Amino acid sequence: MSQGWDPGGGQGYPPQGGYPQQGGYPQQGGYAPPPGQGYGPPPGPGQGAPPGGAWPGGGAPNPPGRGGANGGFGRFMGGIVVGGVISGVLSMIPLLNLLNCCFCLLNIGGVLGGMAMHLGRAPDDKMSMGEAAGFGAAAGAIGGVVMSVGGVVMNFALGALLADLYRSISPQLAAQFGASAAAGIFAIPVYAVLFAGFGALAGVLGISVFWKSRQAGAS
Amino acid sequence: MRSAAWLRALVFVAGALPLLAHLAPSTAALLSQVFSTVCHQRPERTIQLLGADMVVCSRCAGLYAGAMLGALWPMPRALFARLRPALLAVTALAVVDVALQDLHVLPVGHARRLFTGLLLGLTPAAAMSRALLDEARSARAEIA
Repeated sequence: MSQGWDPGGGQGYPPQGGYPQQGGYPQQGGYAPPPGQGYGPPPGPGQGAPPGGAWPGGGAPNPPGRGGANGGFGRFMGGIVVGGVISGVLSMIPLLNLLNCCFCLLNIGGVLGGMAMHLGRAPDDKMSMGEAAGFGAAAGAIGGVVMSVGGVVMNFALGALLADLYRSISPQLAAQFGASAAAGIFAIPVYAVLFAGFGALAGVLGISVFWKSRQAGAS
Repeated sequence: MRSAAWLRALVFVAGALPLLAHLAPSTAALLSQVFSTVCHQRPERTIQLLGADMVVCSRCAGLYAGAMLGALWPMPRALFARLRPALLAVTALAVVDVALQDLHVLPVGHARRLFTGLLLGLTPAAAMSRALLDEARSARAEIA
C-alpha cells in the first residue's frame, strides 16, 4: 500500500485481458481463477502499477470523476474516514477545540489531513475540484458526527458520575444538565451539516492551494 | 451532476444555519449551543438581527453569509483562473484584521469584520460553485 496506486479502494485490478466476462479468458465451462490468487493485482511493484510506476499514456489509469473500477469516488473512502475521525476527535478535546473558533480550523485540518493521506498513498491519482469538495464534505460530515456523538457520550458518562453531586447541590441544576445533554442528540445533524459545509470549502482550499499540481485538469 | 447541486445546497444550508435562529426562534437555544463550539460569541463582537443577538460573531456572520452567497453565485472565470492568489489574499486580509484588532491598533468594527469574513466565505464557496458547474458542463458535453 505504501507504493503505487490503490485501485478502486482495494478491489484489485483486473488482469490485462480484462475480466472473463469481457472476453479476456476462455468462456467454456466458466473460468475459475488460479487457486489462491483470485482476481487480485498482478505481481510486481505497488498495487497494480506497471513496472516503473508509470501508467501508459501518463497519469492515472482512469481519469478522476469518470467512475469505473478505479476512478470512482469510492477510492477516497480511506482518506475521508481518516480525515473525518481526525477532525471529530480533535474537536472533542477540551481547550484544543477552541481552535474551531478560528474558521473551523480543526475541521479544515482534519479534511486536509485526510486529503494528504490519500494523495500520499496514491501518487498518480489526481482530484478534480468537485471531487475535492465532495471529499471535504464527506470527511466534514463524519467529523461532525464523531464530535457530536462523542460529546453526547461524554456528557451522559459525566452526568452519570456527577448525578448525585448535582442533585445534592440543586435538583434544578441536575435537570438543566440532563436537558443540555439531551439537546446534544438533536445537535448531531446540525453539526454534521455545519462541518460538511466547511469541509467542502476546505477541500476546495486544499486542492487549489496546497495540492495544485494534483488537481485534475490543472496545468 | 446531481452531486454538484447537492454540494452547493449543502454549503448554502450550512451558511444559512445562523439565520435559522432568527427565522425559527424555537431553534435559537440549540443553535446557540452548537455554534458555541465554533465561535466565541462575545457580545461586543456580535451584531443584532431582527432584534436579537446573532448566534455567531460578526466575522463569522460574514463568513456564513459569504458561503451562502458563494453557493448561489459561481465565481467569474477570470477570477477563478487566479484562485490561489485570491484565496491567499482574502485569508491574509482577515488575519491582518484579526491581528490589528486584537493588538488594539483598530477598534472592533462590525463592518470591517463582516466584510473580511464575507470575502473569506465567499471566495472558496464561489470557486466551488464555478468548478462544479464547469465539471458538470464538460461531463454533459462528453455524453452528448
